[in-house]
Amino acid sequence: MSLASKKVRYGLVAAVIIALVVGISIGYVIPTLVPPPPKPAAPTIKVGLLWPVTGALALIGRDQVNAFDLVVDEANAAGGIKSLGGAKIELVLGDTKGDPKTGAAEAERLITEAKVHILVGSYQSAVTATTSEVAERYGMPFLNPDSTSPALHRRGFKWFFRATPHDELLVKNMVDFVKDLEKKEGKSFKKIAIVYENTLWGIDSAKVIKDYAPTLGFEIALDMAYPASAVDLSSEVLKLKATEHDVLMQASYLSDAILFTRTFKTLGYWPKLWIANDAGHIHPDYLKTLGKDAYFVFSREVFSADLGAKKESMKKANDAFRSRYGYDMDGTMARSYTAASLVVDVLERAGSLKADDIRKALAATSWSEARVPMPWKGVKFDETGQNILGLGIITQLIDGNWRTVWPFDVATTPYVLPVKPPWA
Amino acid sequence: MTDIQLMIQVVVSSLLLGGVYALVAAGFNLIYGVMDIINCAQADMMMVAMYVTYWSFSLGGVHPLLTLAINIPLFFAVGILVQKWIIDRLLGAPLFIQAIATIGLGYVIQNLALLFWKEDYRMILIPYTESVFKVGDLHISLPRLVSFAGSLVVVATLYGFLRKTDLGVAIRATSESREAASLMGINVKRVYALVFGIGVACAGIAGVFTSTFYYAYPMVGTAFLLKMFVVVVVGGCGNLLASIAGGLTIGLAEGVGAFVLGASWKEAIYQAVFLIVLALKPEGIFGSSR
Repeated sequence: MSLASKKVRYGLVAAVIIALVVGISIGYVIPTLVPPPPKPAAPTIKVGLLWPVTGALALIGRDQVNAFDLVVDEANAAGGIKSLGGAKIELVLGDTKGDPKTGAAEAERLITEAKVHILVGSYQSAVTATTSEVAERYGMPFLNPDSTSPALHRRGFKWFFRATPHDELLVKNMVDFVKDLEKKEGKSFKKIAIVYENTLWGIDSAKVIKDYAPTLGFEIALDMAYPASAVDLSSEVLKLKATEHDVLMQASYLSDAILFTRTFKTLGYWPKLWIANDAGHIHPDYLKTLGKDAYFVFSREVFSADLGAKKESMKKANDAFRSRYGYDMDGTMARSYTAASLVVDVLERAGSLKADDIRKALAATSWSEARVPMPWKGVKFDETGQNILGLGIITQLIDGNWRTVWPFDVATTPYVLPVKPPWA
Repeated sequence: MTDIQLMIQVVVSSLLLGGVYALVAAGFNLIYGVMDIINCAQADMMMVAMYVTYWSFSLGGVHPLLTLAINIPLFFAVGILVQKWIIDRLLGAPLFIQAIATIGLGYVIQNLALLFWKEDYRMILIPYTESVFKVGDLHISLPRLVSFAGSLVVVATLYGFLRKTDLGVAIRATSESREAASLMGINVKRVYALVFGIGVACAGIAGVFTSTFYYAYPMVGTAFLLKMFVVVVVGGCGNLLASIAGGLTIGLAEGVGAFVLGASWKEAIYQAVFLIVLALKPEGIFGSSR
């Protein structure tokens, strides 16, 4: 190749690169230069959603957007927000990618550039912590449907509202359930053994039980933390055998939950009443690995698809979701659906797009048990923004299916007690 | 159950587990004793052996104990290849370099396992792995008893092999002095290949036994690795019988300690035993200063 033609080639390559760079920059710049289209007669209400729609949690994030979208479409089709002259709701999506920093940047973008009127998000507690902080800074109403870290509503925020019950309440439900059970069975389950993995989650939830159970007259018979990575749990199970107790409350991740249950069998231990704290025990692999040996354990939960049979609003929500997307909602989607219904109601009551009016309407929310499409007593926020009528449920693994058994008025299936060891 | 019966149960359960610790540590100890190589990938090789056992069972319906017939030759061969391709280049290199290389090998194995088999927990559930028999009030898990007995038999056989056969003498001679052995006409490279093969085969056997009472998952090796080091040091480096003593001691310390003092002390207790042995008898319970 001659030197000249080489030069020509370099020139060409350089030209292409320059053209690309310039083209891309123009592509970025032009949309911001072009004036926005003229506003339609009725105002559009912009609701900002902050969820992980790409990345590892993408499937969960998209399901949440879908559930939200369903409610908004229905509201728009039914004539929009009447108190605002039939204004339609437009969803503006911010992708947190499941990352607190990205979430904060997206929150900022939705507030300053997209000019949303209310923010909703963000699934993971760590992300909600940062996105709601941005909202607080800008004085933007923030509704959190789905994050459960107890710390979130204790930051003294003015603009933060959380619809879901948090971990503390959910753990207390385990104790409340035993109390209700005592009344119903006419039996005493006074002595509680708590067994938990020895990191933040296990220790925190055990602390809730240790503080709360004695106030209801229970006694902590055994308080045992263990390392979740243990290769063998024989000594732990023998300790349970050696300690007289009526209830076993267990907070375990997956592998240790499996190992515990197997060691129960090996050493012939079986609790009279056995309540798991979500996590490992409700993971599909737990049941898959242990089969029959896992039967009849109770666990705390936030939602169960079988609940529709009991509550009309839940059935309606799940049916609508199912007919549009082809599958049942889980607890995360159901909470997103609930948040969307809340947003529609709040906007209707606010009758204004001023942030302050929307916040006031949020704070004044008062939903009945029948209205809320969750197994809750309703929705009512306290001064910290926490919904105080939220409730967890207790499910039981009955013949291979998780069934809602508590609160008794929403239970779909009667609980099974006493339970004989499945291997006996 | 009375307190005494419970205590006996604790001791028995702990010893049964300690036997398996001994086997996991034995292969590692043999390699270290003869070659001065710290094989940090030993526990991950055991993980692969657990998967081989699991897949033989779930795909081919092979009883886990019969997998021994597959695993022993398979892992022996793997050991020889690893020695030839990786370890051989590291002989004489600083300890740090050797450790990094075997740690790296362990990571590669773990990540390949993650890639191919996902992070699911896999367990063999058949009447054998479920069976428990009772002696009086004592519950004894059959697979754990068999694993315990099997482990002791393997370690004892290996010990006998090293003491009584010419090959064993050659191996011991090599561990005493590489140069002298080579001058006496011993093919040191062959001995090393053999030792590494045997050491990895021990991981193959340990994997079979472990998978009859524990689940396989890609990171299972890490649960055993630290314990393996402690067992070897407590028993005595480079001595096979010492692995048994170390395994049983650690099993007992962990189990009885957790029962008496509380489960959250579990890890602290066996580490404490480790420190005490190091302070009082740094060469290990059975170790002799070399």
